[in-house]
Order: sequence, then structure tokens, then C-alpha cells
Amino acid sequence: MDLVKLLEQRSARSAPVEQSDRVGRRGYHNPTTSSTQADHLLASAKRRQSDTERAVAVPVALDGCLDDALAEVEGLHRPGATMRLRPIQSLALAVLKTCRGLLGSIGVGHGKTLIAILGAKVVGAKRPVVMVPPSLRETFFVEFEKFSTSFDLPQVELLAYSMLSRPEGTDLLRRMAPDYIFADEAHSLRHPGSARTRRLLRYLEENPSTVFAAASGTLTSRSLRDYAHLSRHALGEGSPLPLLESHLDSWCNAIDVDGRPSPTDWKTVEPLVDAFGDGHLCFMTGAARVEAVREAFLARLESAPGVVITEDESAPCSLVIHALRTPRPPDDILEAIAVVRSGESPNHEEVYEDEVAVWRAARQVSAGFFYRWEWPDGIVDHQWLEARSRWSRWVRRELETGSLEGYDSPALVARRTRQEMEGDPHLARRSSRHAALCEWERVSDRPVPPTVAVWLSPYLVEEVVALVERLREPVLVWYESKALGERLAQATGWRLCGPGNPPKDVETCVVSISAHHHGLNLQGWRLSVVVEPPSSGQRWEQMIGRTHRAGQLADEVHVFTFVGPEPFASAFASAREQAAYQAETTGGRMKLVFAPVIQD
Amino acid sequence: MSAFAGIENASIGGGGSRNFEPGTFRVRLDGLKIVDSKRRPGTRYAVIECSVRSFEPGVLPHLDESEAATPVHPETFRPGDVVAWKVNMTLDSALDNLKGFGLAVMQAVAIENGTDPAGIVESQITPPVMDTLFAPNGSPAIGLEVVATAFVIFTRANNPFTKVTWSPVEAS
Repeated sequence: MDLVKLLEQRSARSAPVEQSDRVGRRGYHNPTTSSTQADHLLASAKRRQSDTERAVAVPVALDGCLDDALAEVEGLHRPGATMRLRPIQSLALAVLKTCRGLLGSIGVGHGKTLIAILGAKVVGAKRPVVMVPPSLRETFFVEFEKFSTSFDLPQVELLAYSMLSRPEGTDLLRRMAPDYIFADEAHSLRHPGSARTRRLLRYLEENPSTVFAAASGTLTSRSLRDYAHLSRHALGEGSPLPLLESHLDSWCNAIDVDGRPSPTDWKTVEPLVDAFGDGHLCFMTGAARVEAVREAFLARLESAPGVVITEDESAPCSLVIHALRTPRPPDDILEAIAVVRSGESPNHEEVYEDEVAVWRAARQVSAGFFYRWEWPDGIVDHQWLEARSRWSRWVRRELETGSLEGYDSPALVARRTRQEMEGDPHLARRSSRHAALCEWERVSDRPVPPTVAVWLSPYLVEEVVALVERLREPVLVWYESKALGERLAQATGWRLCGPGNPPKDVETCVVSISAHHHGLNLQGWRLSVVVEPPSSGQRWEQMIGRTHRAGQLADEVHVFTFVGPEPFASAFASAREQAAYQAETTGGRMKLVFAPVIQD
Repeated sequence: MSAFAGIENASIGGGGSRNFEPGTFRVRLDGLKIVDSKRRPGTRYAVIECSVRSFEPGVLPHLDESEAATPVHPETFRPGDVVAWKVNMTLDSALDNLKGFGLAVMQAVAIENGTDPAGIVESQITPPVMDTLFAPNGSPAIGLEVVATAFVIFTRANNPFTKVTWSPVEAS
């Protein structure tokens, strides 16, 4: 029997998959509930569409398909209200109503909070939950009050992502039992391996009827993997991204910033380019291929029902970025950077464990300092360092490979490992994981040695002070390292806005990037100095979006950053590359892409 | 060269599994692909992704045979769950394992086609057959239902290892 011929017969006989007009809701993962559904699923199982072909075949959203829903949501304001929905808000709400799911690449400042709240109303949710980063809780309540004068807002439960990350958050969603979840600033969920994301995804898997919406101005930084899992749960079978890991892998290899596509990967994405691109991949090479796949992907994403992308800019003013090539780092800083790159701290006391530690230290030295452990009496506790490192590796491994409810955070891994040893004390000798915990617990109560900043040169601090003086206006001086922020505040008397302490009065202040780069309305300022440029395009977009957003009254917003030290220059270049990637693959205007960058 | 070059000479034997746990699964084949490892350049994997239609739990044996085997919880897999079988193509046992899979798939195709599955034999599982099954798009195996049986064996070093064998649905 010729088996290849037999396979060809099956291919010829199988019926093509019929696509319904409406996007299916997680049908691929819906347990069969009736024999009719089972029959249908079995019948459709006879198709031979690959996952890529399914994503390509998701119907294109047609003009006019949202007209009824749009008319309905535009009547949501109270009679006589002064505030109206913006067009993008109306569109997102109409999509939520129609598709009962949303994937939004909605730019910074377009009003996602109101979409999140009113979304609960348009889908008829009984137990709605809006998820936000903890730093935005206060802003959310302020905005809720503001909107309630113009809209009849439903009651929603606000859940900070940090609540979901804690050990006691393991069954939090199950206890809340939401039937609508809006993940605002959804890039906070980009790591499928983090405790919060695992817990959310598990809840959605177990409760497929929950309406899920994910929106962010910076949905991705480097990879489709940043949001493929969110798209899958928001749009189910209607997701325009692959649902299967093996196909997603190929798409990522062909599209992502760090993609290294193989011939199989190109072959896999061919249907995408055939359907949504220009030309054929086999006639292209190198960068042209990547560009063609990215263009095709963007066309696929934009046209999928349930996807909302902002293409315009919310800020009514222009934006200029100044990349300052001066000051150049002095020689002692350059020498210290060379030492760090060789894997040692500048004082040769510490050997860095990995590339990330080297990278972090190089950035700190570029800013003029480095951190070192201040061991009591100068005696390094190698036992403590090694035990901590070994147990951390086990925790990472357990969470990557065996995460379950009640076993999805470092604290829970430790708790269960301890319980297992109580049941079988021999495990402490037989099992490496249990032995690692024993070793760590023997020394974990020793006080963590404090780190202190050792300053090598104040060159950057002095330059920042001089720049702010030249600008003669209130400036947001953004810092990444606590030591640098404190040094700037001490040297100048500028207010230090660390975690939990956002900028309030319009004056020059020193602002933590990690604590305040998102969510805040800082339109009172138009000037920013980013002392340590982040390497993340997402972080830049959010940070610039604090001042360059709707409500900014100035004509121009300026952002200054330092690219003299090589680690800063490469970080800034990487951020721009990521922003270009997001603009190419999810559309929208990324500030780092459209703003002119002046090399001063 | 086909990723399956040499499969004619392989024999169905060993098995490898990462995501399956002991039990009998009726699964639908959702994706069959050859992927290149990013972590280990030069290493290729055959990846079979399936969605579970039904699951009958098996047991986790203990090395000490006097100890009763621990039953796997029946809710470990539910209909709709996705499981993946990943075979490292650089291992000697890879083609043996994949040949067993290919044979089961071809027998399932034969049954669907109304022909006698006994007519499909190991020697017919050739590189062109496997290449067709593992085509990135348009694999005729997608949508087929097959049975995967997973069970734990102990290696020479006494480490537990989950082995997976495949059969067509009617043969279960």
C-alpha cells in the first residue's frame, strides 16, 4: 500500500474548515458539554488546518459590523453630561460587547480606565474585576470619581497585580469568581511563568465563559510571546496568533527582535504572508523576509475581530528627544567598565554570577558608582551566598516545570518542600531540592549583608545638575538606581520621589523610573531628564507618556537622556529597536519611533 | 535531507515524554512539527501537540515494589487540555519512538479510510511518509484521534521515566 498516496487521499477528502461569522469563544479548550457539541467538535476535528492556517483564516472584521454596538455604547453617558467617550473608547467597548473579549494595543493616554469600567456594563458582568499595577490604584479611584459625574458606572472590584502575586493570592480569583476581567497595563502579565500570570491563566482555563480583556499601550517589547497567551484567552479560537506552542515558536523566530528562523519556520509562516502580505517569501532574502512577515502579521492582527489598535497619538503636542553624547565618561569610569566587563566588580571583590549581573553593574558604573556587599568585619559569608543561590535555582526550576494552584510562588514551593520533609525526613538526604532547602534554612536567618554604593566619579550627577539649571523650568529627573536618586536629591535639595511617593507639585524632582513610569498624569511638566536610559522600549513609552499625553498644554515636550557611556548608548539603541518592533507588529505610534531624536 | 532519514531501519521500542503522565489518553492531533532548539543549536525536536478528548488515569509505581503504586488523580487531565510529546531527534531512540507514532497514525488513517489497519506495517513508515505527516502546514494527520498510553518505567540509574506508546483508536 502506498502510504503517501493514502495521506494524499485523506487531504483531498477532508472538508475545509468553515469559519463562523462570529469569533468562536475558546472552543478549542471548551470541555464538551453536549452530544451536539461533541459531534460538531469531532466533525471539525477532521480538518487538516494547521494552527498557522487557523490564525490566518480567522475572519477579517468587516466595516459596519460594529455599527449597532457603537450606537449603543455612545449612549452610555448620563443625560446632559459634559464628558463623552472618545472614538477609541467607543470602538473598544463595541468590540467588547460584540466579541466578548478584547486585545487592545491602546496607546498611553487614550483612556483605558474608562473602557475597563464601562466594559463591565456592556458585557453585563455581575462580578467584574479590573486588574491594575499597584501604583495605579489611587489614580484609578480618582478617575472613577471623575467619570462617575458623566457616566452611570458599574461597581467593579479593583485588583492590584501584586495581590495576585502573593502566596495567599493562589486561589484569590477562584474566591472572587469574576465573570469579567479587564487587565489594564496588561504588559504586567507578559511573563506566562510569573505567579500572577499563571494564576490568571489557570482561572481563565477553568472558567472559559469569563470575558477577558487585555489592553496596554506597550503590549510587547521583543516578542509575540509577550501577549500570545493573553490573545488566546481574550479571543479563543479567534486569536490571530498561534495557539500551539510549536507554531508560535515559528512565528516568533520569523518576527521577533531576536528571532533566528530556520527553513521550517519560514515554511510555517508562508500562509500568513500569502494571505496578508505582498509577494512570496521564496523570492525574498534576509531583512526583506522579516519585514514582509512583520507587515503581514500586522495586517492580520489589525483586521482580526476583537483586536483594537490605536494609530493616532493622544498627545496634542510635539515630542523631541535629545540623546546627549556628552559628557563622555572619565578615564577611571572607562577603566571600571572594562573590569566589570571581565566579570569582576571594580574593586575586584566580587565575581558576577551571570551576564545580567555584569550588564547591571556596567550601567551603575556608567552612572559613576557601584554597589558592594558590606560584610561585617569584611568576612565574606560564602556559605550563605552559595546556599541562597542553590535554593533559588531550585525554586526557578520548580516554578517553570511544576507550577499548580498552591504551588506557584517561591514561598509556596518552600512550604511544600518543608511539608514533604516533615512526612519523610530522609528526603533531606535523598533529594537535591530538599537538601537545597535544608542548607538554605540553616543560614537564611543570618542578616542580609547591606549593600553600599561606592562612588567612583560624580561626573554624571554634576552634568544633570548643570543641565537642569540651563533648562530653567521644572524638570522630572528620572533615575533607575536608588543610590543615584539619593545622591541627586542630596546634592540639590530636589524632592526625591521614590516608591509610594509620586510627584505632586510642579517643581523639579527626582523620580524613580520603576515606581512611577506608568499610570501617573504628569502633564504639569514638559521636560524630563532620563539619567539612566532604560533598555526596554515599553518602559520608555510609558515613561514619556507621563508628560506627552492628552491634557498636556505645552506645544512641545522634551526628553533628554545620556548616551555618552557605551552601556547607556546600547540600552537606548535597544529600546528604540524594541519600539520599532512594536510599531511594526502591533501598529500604533510609538514615541521612540516617531519622535525626532536629536544627537546633541 | 529528511529529518526522518533512517527511519526505515528503526524499530519501535523506547519512548520519551515530557508532558504526558501515566494513563491512557484519547487525543486529537493538533500540531506535528519539527523544531530547532534555540538552547542547543543543531538539536532538532519532533513535537506532537494534542488536545485531550478523554483520560483514564494510570499509576505511579515506586522503585520499592513492595510499596503500592500511587494512582494518578483522575482530574490531572481534562477534555480540552493540551499535551505535548517532544522527541529529541539526536537521540538514538528518536526514530524508534517516532516510527511507533507514525504507524499508529497511519493505521488510524487506514481505519478512517475503511481499509484494514493490519495492512499497514512498520516497513511502510518511510521518510516521505513522516515528512508528509510533519509538514509545517497542511499535515493530513491533524484532526485525527489516536490513543496514547503513558506509563512509568525505571531507568538503569533507577530514575523514573515516562514512556509513551501510540495506537489507533479502534485498537485501544
